[in-house]
Amino acid sequence: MGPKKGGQAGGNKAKVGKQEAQQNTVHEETDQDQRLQAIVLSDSYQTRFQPLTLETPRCLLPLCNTPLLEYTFEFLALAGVSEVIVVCCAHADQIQEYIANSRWSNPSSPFTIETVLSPESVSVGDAMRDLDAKGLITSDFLLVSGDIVCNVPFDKVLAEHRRRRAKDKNAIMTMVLREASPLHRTRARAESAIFVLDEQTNQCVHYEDIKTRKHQITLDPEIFNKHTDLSIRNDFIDCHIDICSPDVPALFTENFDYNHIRKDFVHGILTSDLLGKTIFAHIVTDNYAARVRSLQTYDAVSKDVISRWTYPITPDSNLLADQTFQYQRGHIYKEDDIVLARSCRINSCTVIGAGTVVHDGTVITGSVIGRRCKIGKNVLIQSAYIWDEVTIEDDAIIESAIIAKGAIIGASSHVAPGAIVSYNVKIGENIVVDGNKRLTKYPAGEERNINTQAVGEDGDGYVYEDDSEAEEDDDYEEIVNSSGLVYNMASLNGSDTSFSTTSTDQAHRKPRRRRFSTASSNTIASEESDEDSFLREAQASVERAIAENHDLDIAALELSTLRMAKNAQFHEVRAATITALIGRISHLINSNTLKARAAVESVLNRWGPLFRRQVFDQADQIDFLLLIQRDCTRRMQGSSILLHAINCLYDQDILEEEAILKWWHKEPQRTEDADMVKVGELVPRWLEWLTTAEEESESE
Amino acid sequence: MEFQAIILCGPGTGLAPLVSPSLPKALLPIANKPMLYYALEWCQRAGLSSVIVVCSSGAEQPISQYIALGYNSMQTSKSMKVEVVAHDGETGFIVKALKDKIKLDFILLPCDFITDLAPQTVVDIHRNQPLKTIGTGIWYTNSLDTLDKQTLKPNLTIHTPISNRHPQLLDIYPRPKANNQFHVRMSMLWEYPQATISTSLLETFIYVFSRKALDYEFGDANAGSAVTSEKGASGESLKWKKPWTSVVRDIARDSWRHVKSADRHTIGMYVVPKEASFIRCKSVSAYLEANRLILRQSSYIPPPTTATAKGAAIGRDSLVGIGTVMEEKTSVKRSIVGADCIFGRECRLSGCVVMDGVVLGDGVHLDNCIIGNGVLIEDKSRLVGCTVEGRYVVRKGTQSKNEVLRGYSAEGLLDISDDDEDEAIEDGDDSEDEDDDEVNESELVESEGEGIDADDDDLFDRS
Repeated sequence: MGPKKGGQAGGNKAKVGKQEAQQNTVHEETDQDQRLQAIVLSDSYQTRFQPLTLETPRCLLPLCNTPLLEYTFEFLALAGVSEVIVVCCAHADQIQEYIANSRWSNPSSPFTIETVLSPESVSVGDAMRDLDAKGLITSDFLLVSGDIVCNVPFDKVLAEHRRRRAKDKNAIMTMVLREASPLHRTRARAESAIFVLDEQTNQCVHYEDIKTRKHQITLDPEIFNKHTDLSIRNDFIDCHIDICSPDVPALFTENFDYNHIRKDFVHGILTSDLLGKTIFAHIVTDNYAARVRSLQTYDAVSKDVISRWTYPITPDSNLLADQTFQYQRGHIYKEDDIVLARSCRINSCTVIGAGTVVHDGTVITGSVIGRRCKIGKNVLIQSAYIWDEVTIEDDAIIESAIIAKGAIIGASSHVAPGAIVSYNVKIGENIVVDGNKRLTKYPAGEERNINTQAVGEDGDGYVYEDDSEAEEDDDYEEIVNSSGLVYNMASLNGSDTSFSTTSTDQAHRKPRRRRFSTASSNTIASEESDEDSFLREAQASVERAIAENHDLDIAALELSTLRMAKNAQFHEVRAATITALIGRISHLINSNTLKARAAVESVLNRWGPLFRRQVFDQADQIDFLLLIQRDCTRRMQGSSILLHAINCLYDQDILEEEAILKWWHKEPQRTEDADMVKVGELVPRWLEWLTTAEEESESE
Repeated sequence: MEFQAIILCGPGTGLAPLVSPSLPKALLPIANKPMLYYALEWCQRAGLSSVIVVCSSGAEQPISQYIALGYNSMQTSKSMKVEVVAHDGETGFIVKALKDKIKLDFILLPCDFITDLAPQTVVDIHRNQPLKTIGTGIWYTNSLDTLDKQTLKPNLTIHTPISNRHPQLLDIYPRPKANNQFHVRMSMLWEYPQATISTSLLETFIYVFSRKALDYEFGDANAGSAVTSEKGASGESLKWKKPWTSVVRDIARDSWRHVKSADRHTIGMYVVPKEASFIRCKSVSAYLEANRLILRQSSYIPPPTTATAKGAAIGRDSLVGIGTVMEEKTSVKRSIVGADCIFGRECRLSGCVVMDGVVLGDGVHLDNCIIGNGVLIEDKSRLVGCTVEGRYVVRKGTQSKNEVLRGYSAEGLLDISDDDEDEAIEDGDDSEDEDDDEVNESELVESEGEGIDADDDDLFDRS
């Protein structure tokens, strides 16, 4: 072993020399620029907390009687940030007002604070592009969302990042990841991911988000040549706390199809050889970091704060100036001016805000009660989150629910675990609110049936139905419910995709509308020709990619450029891609090069991943299936192409069982004519296999 | 001692042209002692009372002869019983077949390792493992720069972090080819959320196993799914018909694949620390390094040469066998010379391994060469980094660099074909592991071809 060591030592020495030289220069740089900027994304670009977030932005929702944003600021102050930029999107006015009146705007605040409006952004990517355009970022910055609770001392993380940056300008990002168990309660199941890191350097070499029923993750063998020991981690809580270099927003601008910071950006950087940028991870083992990104984590983080895992950020540290919490044995926190009847019982892990009155015989366990609440006699409150100014009348039962500010729960009503009662809703007497109900008073859009039965005759409010609820991905519920660890509230999880296709389309439609109507006076006609030409061009683009064996990323980029240029819908992109791919398959079969199965597999294994960027939710998948089915009617051996294609795409996790079943059983278009029926003749057998396979894997 | 050792002697395919039917790998000399000696000596130091040496039927005769005449006669105490068994088959199957002879927990050893790792360490590691660990494997990393990296071919070893108290083997894969994607099963990651893929770990092929491992029943969804269809006892033993490495891999896989069985057995893991040396003579360059390692380790013994002409210089860093004669002005540095050699005048050897009965003419320069038994090298030849097959004659004035000199004698040809047949016994060679998986793959393809009954249990199919 002698020679090798010697060689390495020699090499190191040379490197060390260089580093020293570099470090010297860097010292100068950092001396000049020790100021640390932080970007706080106040919007989550999700709808999980609806209907609560219809009226209040997520970052101002109270967690243990303190708005979430306050925890984030506390963390930033702890981290030594000197300049905070809050990017506002939805409810910008409320956030601005809150910040203006908070202690962070005082001269004594540890950092300067500024709000930036980015009203058009619908994803993290848009916000970053906006920031880049505004040129606000001057140095490495901390990127966080406005809903984190974290007590990680940041100096070490920052020093490490700066050291890496000094050595290698391409180390553009450090992600802060907290080690936990894979089934940890603050680990959002829907958004957890697998990180593959170099064991020595913690360089992240692969990122893959976990989808349910994903049986395996796929690594490029190339990484084994570059790294000797790779650690695959399924036990990180990723709070999206990142230190980014100014390259990051610039890269978002360059790659205008990046939306999600992990799924698109990290994944894109890691898979791209061209950019040559690297991303590192910092693993936190002792401290607390969590992000409130779903109702499940809202519950979990609340409990952690109450049981002081987040110390020094606990209720009794009284983050807000007017708070007067005091800690009592058994994790009970009480403010001043509370009126408790003699015979009421306050059990452990409870927070009660000032001005609250609790009457005789009431039992409160493991719950958070806001300020100025009126709680009647013999009420039972268990693991519930009751915000300010809520009135709960006698004999009511509230279990594991969220009751927002100003709500009134009538006497003897029962709010079942998992329910949400939004602002100012009034629930009458003797009403049972089911666990899956979300009640709101927020003015509903037109043509919506207002269901007032849920609140009773003298109540006020209706059952809120989210648009995206129809597309809800039930997979996560299954996982979450099957593991006894996790709280039932998780079943409230909304759609898991960070953006819905429709909203992206709309967003792009407005600013990027471009018309080729100079020659034509008729806009509608031009629109149509637009669509036609898109289909033709997109199809040609995919065909060219296949023929010239392009890189998948390049092909995908070309398509998305085209989509934006022509202002097309994802539906059309899918249609064009399918036509091109099935055309290729059909060509392979007809020319007797390959058998149907082999042809489908060879084409779809190579090009199927294109659909990943075209198919997002269940509605998309069903649309996608219909398109394939329609296309197959025109082909020889169409039925077997369809069958194998479904199988292949199912294996690739592009199609999910739920969607396939819905398409087969529910979709009227599927059987709209004889051709469509005929082409699907082979599918039932596969479905049979699918359901049996599923049972097996569940029983496993 | 509660252990028994099994030494598996492979054919040494990587050591061609040094090995032949009359000189199997196990008997190839390292520092003038057969390789097998070191393995046996290691067992002796561990204090084992019984050793089973398994070899192919072709090599049985010379090996038993060595044990009877060479090894046993050298030992002062006869406390260790050595038994030679001939068996041609997959290594997994060999171990299973030896079930009647194995009475205790057993240590599986290759015959071709040279190490300064104390046997006690290995034994203790196994003793300290938690109860559910059915066996422990030892891995090493190559620390030698001079080795031909091509011949190492490390597998991808997936395990829990080595820094854990009891690291555990999770899976072994051959390294994927450039365009093949590599899959990691999610079921493993839920069971073991922190897993490491090592690309540099090499198998020492030292395994310490509990005897109950011989009664191990593989989970049903095993890689060799075609075999499972044959139920009953014969089917069960057929599952062992694969290299031992695959057996270990399958036990390791079972540890995370069957979620329900709480008392799953696991495979423990130990990596030879960097301070210790470990070499497996699987290639010619590794063989050369092993010789040098022994040379460095052994304290200096004066060369027992009977006749050294005056003026010949034998470096203190060299080893020369009995009966070797050297003429004037010959110098030997950092080399090992066997017995009964005759060196001419003005020969220069450095960093060489010369086996028995080699004759050198005058003015021969050898640098980093391996010279087989009974080779004749005529005057003024200069060889650098060459390997010369036994009985070869190097003509006068030959100048070669980094070549393999081998005669195409009938014997030589026989050698090769023999080797190929014997391949089966090769101790879990990597290439075989690959074959093993490829077979699975093709079987699966066949079964899939019938329709879409492509069961999702084709866990390890890589396409």
